Amino acid sequence: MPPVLVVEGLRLYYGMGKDVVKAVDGVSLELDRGEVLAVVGESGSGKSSLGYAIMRLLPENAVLYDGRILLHDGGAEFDIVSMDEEALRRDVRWKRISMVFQASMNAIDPVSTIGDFIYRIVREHRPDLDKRRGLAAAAEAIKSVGLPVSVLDMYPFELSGGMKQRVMIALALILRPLVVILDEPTSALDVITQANVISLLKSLRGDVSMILITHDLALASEIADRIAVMYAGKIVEIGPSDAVLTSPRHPYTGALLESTPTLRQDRALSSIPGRVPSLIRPPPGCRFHPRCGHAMDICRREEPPMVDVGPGHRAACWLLRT
Amino acid sequence: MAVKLYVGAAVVAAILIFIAIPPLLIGTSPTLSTDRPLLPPSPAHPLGTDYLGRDVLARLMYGGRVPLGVALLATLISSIAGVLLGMFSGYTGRWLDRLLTMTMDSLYAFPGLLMAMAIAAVLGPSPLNAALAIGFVYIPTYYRLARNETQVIKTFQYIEAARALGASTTHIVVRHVLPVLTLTIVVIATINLADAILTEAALAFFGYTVVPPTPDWGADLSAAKSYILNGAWWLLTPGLMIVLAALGFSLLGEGLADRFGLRKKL
Amino acid sequence: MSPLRYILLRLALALPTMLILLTVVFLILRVIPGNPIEAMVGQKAPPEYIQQLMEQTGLNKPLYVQYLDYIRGVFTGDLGRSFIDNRPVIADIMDRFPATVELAVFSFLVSIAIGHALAFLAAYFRRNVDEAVRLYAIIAYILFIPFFGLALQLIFGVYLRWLPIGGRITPGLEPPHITGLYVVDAAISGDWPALVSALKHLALPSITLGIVISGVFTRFIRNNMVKTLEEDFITTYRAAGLPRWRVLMRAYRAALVPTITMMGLQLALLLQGAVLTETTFSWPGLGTLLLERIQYLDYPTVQGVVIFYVLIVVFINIAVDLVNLAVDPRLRRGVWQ
Repeated sequence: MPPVLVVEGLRLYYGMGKDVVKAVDGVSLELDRGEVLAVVGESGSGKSSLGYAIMRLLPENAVLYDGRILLHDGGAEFDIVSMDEEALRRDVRWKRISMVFQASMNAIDPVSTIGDFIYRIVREHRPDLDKRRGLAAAAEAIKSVGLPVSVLDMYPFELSGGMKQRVMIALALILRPLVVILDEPTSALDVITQANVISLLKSLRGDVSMILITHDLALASEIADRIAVMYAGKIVEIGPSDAVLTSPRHPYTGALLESTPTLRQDRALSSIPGRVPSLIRPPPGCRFHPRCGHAMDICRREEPPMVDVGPGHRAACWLLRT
Repeated sequence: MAVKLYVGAAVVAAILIFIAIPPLLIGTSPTLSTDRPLLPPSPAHPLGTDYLGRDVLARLMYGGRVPLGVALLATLISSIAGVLLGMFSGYTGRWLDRLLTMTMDSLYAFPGLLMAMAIAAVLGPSPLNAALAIGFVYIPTYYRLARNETQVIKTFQYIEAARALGASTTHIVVRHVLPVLTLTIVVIATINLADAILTEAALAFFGYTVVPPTPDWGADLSAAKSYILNGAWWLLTPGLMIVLAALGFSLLGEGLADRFGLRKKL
Repeated sequence: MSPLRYILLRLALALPTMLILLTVVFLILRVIPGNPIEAMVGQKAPPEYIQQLMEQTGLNKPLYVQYLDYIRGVFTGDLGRSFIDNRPVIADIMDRFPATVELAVFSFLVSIAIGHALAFLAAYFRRNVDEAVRLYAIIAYILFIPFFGLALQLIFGVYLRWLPIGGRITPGLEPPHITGLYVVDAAISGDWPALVSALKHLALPSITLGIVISGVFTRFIRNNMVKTLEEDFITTYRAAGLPRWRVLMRAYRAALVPTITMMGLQLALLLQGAVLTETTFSWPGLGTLLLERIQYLDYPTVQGVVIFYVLIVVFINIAVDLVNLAVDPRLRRGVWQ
């Protein structure tokens, strides 16, 4: 069976004043059916932009958007990058790929009840559902994320942050899409609500494919089958979660792990020296070289290619070639 | 858009020159009949003559002095009164602030032109009275701005520091609050000048600013009403001047607001 | 809180605004001039005549008594008697009020129609269309009503002869008096010639005032919509595959709450614009009544009309709040629970 989603050489640049921000700069990845892929990186690494780029939710100031995003559903194949806007809206958005946004707090229509809000979106893709059946479906979805049905009659300002996040997860799943993109689904929540949402996400594993965008390695390790590490608009390492977490092959992945607190080991935390590079003028060669302890001459000049370092495990570093 | 700023400045400059140069260029008197009445535009009278045979161009050039003078004076009156009241109210706070704010909000909701008409009616027709009437109705605009800004500035650290050092209220307001406010006030006043010009024109149209034969765009338009409807279209030009003057100050003010990033405060 | 209690509370909150405005009007009309009758009638009038007028209006009493009488008069609907026709002022006002309502309502409809159309165009197409709409908003706002009205009269009334240039209806065609609004009365009584004539007479004045007011409305609706379009829930709708125009509708719906509040504040513009429009089109409304009576030095009527405008403003503000109650779920939940 082919992967449900194949991304090849995806680029998304947008203008900021006179500069061009290379938010996503040649990203390739694959997502298997029922798989959870975590995309991790610091803020400013372009990982959120990658999520939006896969949905083709381009910012108003986008100046370049190319590459391929192939979505396979049975025999059908859609190229999100090049397909017609109307077909994208009708056949792909929400029906086959949905998204849970980072700012779920404000992601719900403020002047609509939750029920009307969900029904409005469901109706767009399921015109066969009348209001009664649409609301019944919404009630089902709301229950599946552990919320009382009475939420349907409420306005977003009457819900807590965690409840709104659950509503958005219910909404993302209601049309049974192939892929759900989750952009920092827990970052705005308090610890207890986070735990609830995480266990909810875990329970969903296997039904749909998920792309989990997060800066939280602990969350990634808990839920993801595979992890992709993003740095300055590029993926620098990708592989099975265990392999990436226990034997990282890219120095940046290692540094990221060093800087992440864990409950299991009590070792000293180190932070990554230097700053996240500018996406406007990224460093030449390997983009991590200014912050890398192992930087060599070639790193400053040439971009390292992706190389296989284990089963399904790949990384882009000159150290791996020598 | 910088275009607004430049176009606005150009229009304002053109109008100021237009009303400043007549003694140099035009020998024609604005108040004497120099030809037959209601002549259409011709080389002798580029904008024709009015119902008394007066040169329309000459009246247009002289007729801008009262409107612009009244609008300027009115804006000066309302900005000074409004800013003083607003700073005082915002800095003092408490019940006085509430009462004043409520009063200003009520005045703001009332049609300014009607209030100005009432004032002008009891004061009698004169440019000064018109300026007072217009100045009064625009006080709330400046009051709101000054009060809100003062309340924000009041919480800033350097104000706290000044107070801790024993500076008096007056001192703090004048030395620390006013300078921060000045730019915003000037920009708002520029936009407000457009409103003041339109209100002056309305009062003049109703006969509250000048007594004939003094030229004034609004009054001239009013006097020409029935002749215009008989086809003397060139007598509409005083109205066009009013619109151009208001447009110029409007664009200039908006352009300044964009330039200085004050859009949110409007 | 029940809706009824909310309305009562809102009325109670309107009282201070009303008192403040009434007091300001009192100060302007009675305190500034010292002797308002003399100020209006002029010092040349015989002293006995001025004395008689002052007694008739109670202006010879101490100021605080005058003030109390004045406030009492407002609440009992007794605004005194006109110097000109000796009718109760309120009767003269009521004769003219429907004409102003008719003009204001039609102009308002014209302005919100234009405002919505342009704001949606600006929000849909953005860029150049948006810039053009913003420019329109500025220009419409500064169109001096008598100038703009006269120009339209000249073109459509004098040159093209499509529309009448003044008055409310062709004399002799007045429909039977039911509401005083000619359009409504003519429609109710099925009087087609009257209806057509009333609408024709309304066309130029309401288009003039409607276009001028559409400047602010276009600006508000456009600004609020563009701001709302940047909010996160709009991204949700886009991601969910809603067509662009439906996303716009939702942005419009969410922007309605701030828009209505802002529009409510600008209704003062409509009222003052109506005064200028009435004068330009010889429209027999409150504005022309006020100007006529100022000319005839009819002090009680002048005061009465200004007071009546205060009442209109207060009433409109309450009405705007009630509309917001229907539109704003936060407010609604607060009221019903």
